[in-house]
Amino acid sequence: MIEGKDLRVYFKSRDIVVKALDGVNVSVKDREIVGIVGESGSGKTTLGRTILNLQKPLSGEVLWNGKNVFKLKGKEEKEFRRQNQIIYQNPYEAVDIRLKVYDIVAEGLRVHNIPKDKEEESKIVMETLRDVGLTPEDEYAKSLPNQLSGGQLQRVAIARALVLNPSFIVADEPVSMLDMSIRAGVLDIFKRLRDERGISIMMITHDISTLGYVADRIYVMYQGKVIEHGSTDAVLDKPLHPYTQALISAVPIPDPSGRTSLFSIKVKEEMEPYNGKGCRYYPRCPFAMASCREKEPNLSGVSSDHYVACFLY
Amino acid sequence: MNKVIRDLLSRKTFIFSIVVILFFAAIALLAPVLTSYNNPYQVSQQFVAAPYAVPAWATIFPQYHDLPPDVRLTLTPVSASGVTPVNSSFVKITVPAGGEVNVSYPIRWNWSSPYNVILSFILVPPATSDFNVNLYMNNINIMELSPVPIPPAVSVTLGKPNSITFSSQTINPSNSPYVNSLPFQDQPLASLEFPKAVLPRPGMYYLVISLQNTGNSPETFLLSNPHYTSLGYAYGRLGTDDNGGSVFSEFVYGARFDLYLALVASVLIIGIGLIIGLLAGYVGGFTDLTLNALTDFFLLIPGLPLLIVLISIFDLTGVIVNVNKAVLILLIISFLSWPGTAKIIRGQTLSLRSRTFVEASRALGEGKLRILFRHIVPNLMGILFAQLAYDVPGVILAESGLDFLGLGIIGFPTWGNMLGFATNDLSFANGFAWWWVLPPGIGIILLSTAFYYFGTAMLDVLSPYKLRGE
Ligand SMILES: Nc1ncnc2c1ncn2[C@@H]1O[C@H](COP(=O)(O)OP(=O)(O)OP(=O)(O)O)[C@@H](O)[C@H]1O
Ligand code: SF4
Ligand SMILES: [Mg+2]
Repeated sequence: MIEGKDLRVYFKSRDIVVKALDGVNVSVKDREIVGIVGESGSGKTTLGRTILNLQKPLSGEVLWNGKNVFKLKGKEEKEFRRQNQIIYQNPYEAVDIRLKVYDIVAEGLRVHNIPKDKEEESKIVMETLRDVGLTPEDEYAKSLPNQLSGGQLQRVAIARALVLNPSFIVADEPVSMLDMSIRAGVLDIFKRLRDERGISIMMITHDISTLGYVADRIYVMYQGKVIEHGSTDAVLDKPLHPYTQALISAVPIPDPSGRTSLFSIKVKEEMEPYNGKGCRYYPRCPFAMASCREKEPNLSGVSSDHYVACFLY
Repeated sequence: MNKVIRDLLSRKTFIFSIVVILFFAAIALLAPVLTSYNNPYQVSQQFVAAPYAVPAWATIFPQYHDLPPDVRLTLTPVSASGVTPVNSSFVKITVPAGGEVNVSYPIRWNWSSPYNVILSFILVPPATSDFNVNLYMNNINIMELSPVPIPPAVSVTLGKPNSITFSSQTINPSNSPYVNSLPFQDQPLASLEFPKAVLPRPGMYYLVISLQNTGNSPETFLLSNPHYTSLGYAYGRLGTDDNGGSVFSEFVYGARFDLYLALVASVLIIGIGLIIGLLAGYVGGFTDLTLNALTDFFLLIPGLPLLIVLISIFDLTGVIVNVNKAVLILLIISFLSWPGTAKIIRGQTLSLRSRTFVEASRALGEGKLRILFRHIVPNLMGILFAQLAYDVPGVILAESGLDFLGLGIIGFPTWGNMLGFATNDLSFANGFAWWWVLPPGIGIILLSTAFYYFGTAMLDVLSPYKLRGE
């Protein structure tokens, strides 16, 4: 179980301060796939990186089985690294393209001195390559990243994370670079991981439709804040926040469950700039009220597994 | 690794650079074997041939066709009555009273006139003082030896071996009847004109030693076979410079120096530039600030002017008497070569450090050092080689420039000072000494281009991130 509490990450670029995370609370329980959804720039990647202590937050803490991950040292830190892995949005950027697939995957094993000898190392690497569907594995092991397609390389990145037998994986838009036709195949890998190995997963995406397929719970982010979260069924069947509704209606492909047809929310055409104190969504919210401009809404529970930050509820 | 080498070998520019660099490296290493003159700027190693002698192979061109090489002959006399060999190198000549015996030595000459003519032999005259010895070449009376030295006659010791040397370069009105007989205004030029007078064109010539007995009893002379030497106008692989020094030797030792310079500069660039750049870029913070300031300081020193000032000061004050000036120049130039590399490496390290794959390595649990040596440094190799490729020719050019201007090394040959000396002396008369100017010029160009190609090839092959145009 890993949870982030009141995480704040601000980036300063010249004079502008970007609040990538602005008081975010998330938790991923064991054997759970949690979806993080939001538009580009809403802070999803930053959340994933902060959870894994790859980005120091301004404030807030991340607890991993009760331990603050920013204070881990030595052996414990190493163990944290082994058990918690990340798969990046763009596989081409995430691997050292000088290295052969075999070495990319074996890197983690070597760092943690897991295999006794070269033979065992090779056995584990080959097994993992097979697990992620890269067969014939010895062909792939020998190839260089630039000889592979995006989908194949993303599988390599997944293999690199899996080879350490982690208990938690942040998957940052693992299928966004991939062709529609192979997305399901890659998503299936994650489902199988949860079902067969009990791995918890934080699945980051800007495409809410993929979450219906894999996630147990969903967090919807908007401009560095969680504006709605709850069980997948609750959020997808009964989206409360106008932004969530807009996200779902914007899904381009027909959803077999027919959820999409229920909502057809319009987004306001002309936008006034955000005044700095009201609800962050009011410039685009069709339901904005006068009070929305004055104060930011806090997350509040509408049911035991559904929370939303909006004055409408 | 195999792939890298295969990649490299598939590039023509890389092959070119390797061939050129290896060629010069071989020349530099084998210099003592290739030539026996290790410093043709020393007086003792000059005049191995005439000044501005063309390369020997250039005689295939019609305008150089007749130019003589260096010639060394031991002349042997044609047999005549009164001339009897004593052993293989001496002949005994008996001259009757009041008579005269001419000993003729044929010289087969296949070329146009040489630069000079030197004759040497041993003469043992009779103990009496009633004799006279005259040397004729091409029927010109070039020297007179007499017990009574009335100029232009030269004195000999009676009855003892006399080592006689005739050199066209030291003739004057008081030691050569030939000069003495010239019109007054021509006498100063006699040394220059002499070879043309005695060996004007290809043909058969004779050195005649004429022994005259002015007494009234027979006299006996002993004569060694004369040695003939002359410096030619065609010499060696690359001819000679204005002092008759071997240009080939200069070129070879110049290559040695320039490669040595390249090596020292490379070591300093890698040693200082890489380490400072890496530390600044990877550690960051205060370290970065300090190292960056240091780099900027060295980068902003105007290298060449500083050198010129420093060297002038050293020269004028003689402060550093014990330190070899050449070593000093080498070190200063090399030492000014690393800041550019440090800057570039720092920038690249900064950019690499923030790349996702480095963060991914962190996420895998890799330590700072492992990331540095497994991901950062290998990814910098290409850019490092490229820096070597740009900086080393720069260093060579700077040093050559300094030498060219006469401010740098002048004590021994470098390509730079070869060019400098050569351009000072180019003229129509010496055919613009192309054999002297071209080798160092082409050497500098070839070596610089080779380094450049070598670096760019390494950059392409070793920097995947660069290759993909990111
Ligand atoms: N290292 C950084 N330095 C400066 N600003 C950053 C940095 N990383 C992220 N940001 C900014 O923080 C905000 C959130 O970025 P983040 O990458 O977390 O968004 P995201 O939700 O993952 O978007 P996307 O769907 O496009 O990946 C963006 O405005 C981004 O410009
Ligand atoms: S709080 Fe107001 S502005 Fe914000 S989403 Fe709800 S209704 Fe729209
Ligand atoms: Mg992202």
